[in-house]
Amino acid sequence: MKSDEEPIGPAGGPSPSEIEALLGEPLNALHKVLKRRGVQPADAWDIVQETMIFAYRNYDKHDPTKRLSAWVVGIGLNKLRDFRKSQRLRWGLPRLFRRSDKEPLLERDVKRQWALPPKETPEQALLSKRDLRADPLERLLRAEAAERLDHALAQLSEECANALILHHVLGFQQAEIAEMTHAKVSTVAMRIQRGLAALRKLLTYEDVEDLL
Amino acid sequence: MKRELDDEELKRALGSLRNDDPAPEWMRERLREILLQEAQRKEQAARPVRGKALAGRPWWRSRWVVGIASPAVVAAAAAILALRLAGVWGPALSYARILEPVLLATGSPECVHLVLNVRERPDEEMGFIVPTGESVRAEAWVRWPASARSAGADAGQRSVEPGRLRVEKPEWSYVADGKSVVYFWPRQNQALRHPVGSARFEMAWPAAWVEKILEAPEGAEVIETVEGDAAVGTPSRLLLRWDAPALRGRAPAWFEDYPREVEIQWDARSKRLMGFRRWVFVDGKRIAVTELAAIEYLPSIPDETFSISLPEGVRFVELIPAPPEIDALGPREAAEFFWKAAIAGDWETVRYFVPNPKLLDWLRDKRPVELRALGQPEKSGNYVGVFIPYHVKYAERGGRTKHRIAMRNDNQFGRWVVDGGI
Repeated sequence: MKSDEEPIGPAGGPSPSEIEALLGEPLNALHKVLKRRGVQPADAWDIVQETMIFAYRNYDKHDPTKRLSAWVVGIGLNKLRDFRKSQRLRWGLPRLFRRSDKEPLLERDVKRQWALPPKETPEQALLSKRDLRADPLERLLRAEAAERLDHALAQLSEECANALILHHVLGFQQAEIAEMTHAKVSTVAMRIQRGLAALRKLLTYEDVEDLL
Repeated sequence: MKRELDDEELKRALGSLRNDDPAPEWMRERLREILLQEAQRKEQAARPVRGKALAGRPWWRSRWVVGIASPAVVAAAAAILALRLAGVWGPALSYARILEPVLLATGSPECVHLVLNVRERPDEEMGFIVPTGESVRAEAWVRWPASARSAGADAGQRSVEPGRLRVEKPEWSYVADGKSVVYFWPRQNQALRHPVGSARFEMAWPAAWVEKILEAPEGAEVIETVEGDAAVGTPSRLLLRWDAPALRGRAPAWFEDYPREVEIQWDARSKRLMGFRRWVFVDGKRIAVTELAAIEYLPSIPDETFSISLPEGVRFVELIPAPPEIDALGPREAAEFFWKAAIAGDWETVRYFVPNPKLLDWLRDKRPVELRALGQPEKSGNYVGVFIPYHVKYAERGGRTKHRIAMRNDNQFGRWVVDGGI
């Protein structure tokens, strides 16, 4: 619902402040999920665009009593699932029918890379870090530990990995995750427990020590 | 031999990734452009008749208009681009470049001690401003979180030293001692304890103020820039202005709710922030709400500064565990449950929704007797919870209140609890 204080966006779409709301915490949460799920940057950018445009067009369907980031991440997870399906389908088809035969994969990926920005300069990279005071060695060790954790997460089932990331990394409640993933709360709780148990088998204390 | 992980360590490791990998700024910029294009497309689609010329072609695509306008448009666009690149025009581009070295220099010291004059309530946390109120003094000491190497048996094992923070207002103390965060209201002899991770360093860490401006340049208008002279010792200065966001009927309460201006001053040589002032506009009047009265960058601050001893009999504001069906209630259901319990005098149930003992005492005194209406929850501004309009009749002198109850659920139980508006 729009108030009188703010000009309503074009053709009843979200207002500028609502667009900014979409580009705040929801975008960060979605980016984190895709990063942790090991999606390549060019693919992640495609999924983010599709998710945000879908969220923009369907903004009026968002229940304002629920967190915007939960709604957007829910859409993003559906897009990610569609993307994974399309990947399986593409590589599962006979070579004759592959899309890459019409448009060479290399060329297509080069085109998509053009959509990405130029690499950051060292100064920009430094500024983009929130913790300006972090020791470079510490950052490196942390990044390596995070990579080991991501690698272990990649070995879990899609449902367990998503539930763990959404609950323990992004801090969503189990009820919110249940709604995002169209599952029961008890199922989500079980996926989290199973995911934790599986990760414990895959990792040792030394593997994640630098994150603690 | 490798040590096995336990669940708690694993959860901590996962949780430590919470602040990693925010979406990069370029992604946000590109998406903003894409969504604005989408908005324009929608707008054009929704405007079928008015834009058509007699020939059936939209007026803006008429060959006359295009023919005359295009050279002018191209020239204007080139001029705008040149001005933006030269940093003469375009606030987002030019002031980000000015502030980046200030952010780096201001964030480099270990500790900061500062004094602010703020137009806020003396017993409320920083940021909740009262433009018509008196100015109060707030003093803060900050030690930024730093990595340290522990000695002894665990030599070589790295640990992260949590930051320390103390903010003192006349009737409110806020202390993060590295183990927990304590809010203390001496007048009510009431305290609140939160986990250490919730410490709000941005209240008093000058680099965070600069970073906040750099992260949210949207809508900022550069009013004035003054370049200081390092030889003479005059500071550099930047003054920015923002319009108010939409509040959907909610009264403005936080600084960001008003049309506002922020001024930053920094030393031209060291680039460290030395001055910080903020104003809001109320009924066309410019009112100063924050002024940095003194600041010193220090190599260290003793641990004792960041400890607090609470007096005997202090009451803690805390949520008590409730049955799962209470935790599962939605915001409107929770508000209804709360009011009905208060009307029935069931204070045990009311406590599930009211963590603040002072508010509970107030309710016992006033004693609501009838819930006449309860509206639908709605979000407003930057508030994390929702507002629900209500109409309640109180026993005391037959008083009635039509107001909006604030409910939030960002607690460990995920329960919707009363945050204000009573």
